[in-house]
Amino acid sequence: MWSKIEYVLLHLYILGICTVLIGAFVVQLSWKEFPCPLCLLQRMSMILAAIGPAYIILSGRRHHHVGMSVLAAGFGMAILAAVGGLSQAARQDLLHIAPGDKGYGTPVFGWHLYTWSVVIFLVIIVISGITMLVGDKLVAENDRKMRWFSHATIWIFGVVILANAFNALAISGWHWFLPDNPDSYLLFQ
Amino acid sequence: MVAALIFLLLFATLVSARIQNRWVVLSLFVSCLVIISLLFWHHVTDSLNISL
Repeated sequence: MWSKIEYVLLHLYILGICTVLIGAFVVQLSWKEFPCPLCLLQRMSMILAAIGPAYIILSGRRHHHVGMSVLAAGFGMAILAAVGGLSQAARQDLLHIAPGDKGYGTPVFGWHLYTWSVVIFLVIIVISGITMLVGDKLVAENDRKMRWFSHATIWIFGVVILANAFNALAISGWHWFLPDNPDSYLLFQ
Repeated sequence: MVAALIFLLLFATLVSARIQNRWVVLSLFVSCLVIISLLFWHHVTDSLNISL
């Protein structure tokens, strides 16, 4: 039973990360707050942390039973990416730790996005650890509803990645690197 | 532009997960991890000029 629930939770894991990334877009577009280079690095790490679970889901769609080696590879990828993302988020937090510093951007629910980012990467590491601790082989439900759900999850994830690619190009324009404090879309200037 | 290319590489990694060749997925994943780390290193050593 757990193995079937775990398969559904994998989808929610990816959709959760997509929700965070879409939320970052909402903040960027509605409050006109452009992401700094470190913000984009954290978005990259979040996407990278979701690729492992996507690999497990796609493996389940094909083979129905997913072995421990695939599960370990998927969550191993998630942990490695989350450790990278955590160091980036911690770096940005430490840049604004001085007393009187207002931080970068507007706080959301009292915390800045990069502080939330630390929490998200820690949660990813803890979830991955627990799943590897209690996980056995995974049984993928391959009925029509579940296949549709998997299909939709991967597609949403793909669209979010491509939207981020376009967003990064729009901000940096044809320059190699992003400006330190972006305040416009250089591609359209 | 480097950031946009990394996002495209991430997309390629997701597409490779569909193919289910384990070594291709892992190779692309490690490539992404290394490139993101290098970009992070670039921004850490470079002055960010964030308003402190």
